[in-house]
Amino acid sequence: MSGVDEGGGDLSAVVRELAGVVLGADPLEAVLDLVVSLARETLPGAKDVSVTVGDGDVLTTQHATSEDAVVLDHVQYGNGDGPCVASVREGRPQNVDIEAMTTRWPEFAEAARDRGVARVLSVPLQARGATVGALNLYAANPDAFGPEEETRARLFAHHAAVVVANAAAYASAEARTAQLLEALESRDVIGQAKGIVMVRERCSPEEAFDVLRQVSQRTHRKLRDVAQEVADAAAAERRHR
Amino acid sequence: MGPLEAARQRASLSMQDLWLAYIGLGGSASLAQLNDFVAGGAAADSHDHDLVAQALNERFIDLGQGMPVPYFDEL
Repeated sequence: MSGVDEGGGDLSAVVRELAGVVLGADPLEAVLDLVVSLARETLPGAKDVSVTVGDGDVLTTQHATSEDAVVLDHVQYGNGDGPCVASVREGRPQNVDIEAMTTRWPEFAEAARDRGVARVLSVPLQARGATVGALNLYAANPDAFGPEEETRARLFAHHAAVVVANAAAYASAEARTAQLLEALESRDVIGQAKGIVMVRERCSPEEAFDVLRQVSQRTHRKLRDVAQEVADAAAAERRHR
Repeated sequence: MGPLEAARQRASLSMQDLWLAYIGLGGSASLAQLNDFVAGGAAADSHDHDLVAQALNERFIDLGQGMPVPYFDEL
């Protein structure tokens, strides 16, 4: 790899460091922090770096070295186009200077110019044959990324993709757990309300559900909110007894 | 395609997210069982039908589209 080692850190050392990431042992933020700081080390011309995660439909910035990078990413998500969005969609790097940006994505180019960015290199992150996101490198120098740097960035992205894909899978498992907890809380409140209705109406759990469901349908409110009201009212009654 | 599956697709709700909502409303079927009666045409009892209809209607409330999915007694 000596041919691509000039002008930046030792790429093989960077790769070793990426390979050493242990999922779960390091918090997600720390893993992504490592990826962007190693990217900056590998491509010293980049003043800001961000990692986008998503498959094209929904893109989110998982980590960035500055607020400017977050804003520039979001301008692209909002427009549904830009170097990062195009690299994810087309599965190949987008390496553009301010002139090319102005032609292709005028609104994005303006936002970039406002933030002193004159060259953007977005490289897709591909793992297990699928594009899982992009690595975005923002530079002040319009000549910051030539073919040499692009090759370095691709090699870096090749190794970073696996780490980012794993981190994203880990994050989605965590989000799943949070959703499940929310479902259990809702189920608990609805269970309480059903019990209250069953006693009052001397009915079955299914009939109690129906009573609550009909209130929800009449008032266009969620069953959980209707149930919460029933449970709160019963608690208030108990206090006044 | 049954009305529940049509509504699920219109609401862009994954089967897994529908299952979570169904569990949150008090449902007890597994994800595989839910898949069978929503998308696979297996018979569901009235209560399970109404749980799924409610889950979908609450999604439509979030989307600002009212509660368009019919309950069992409206079919």
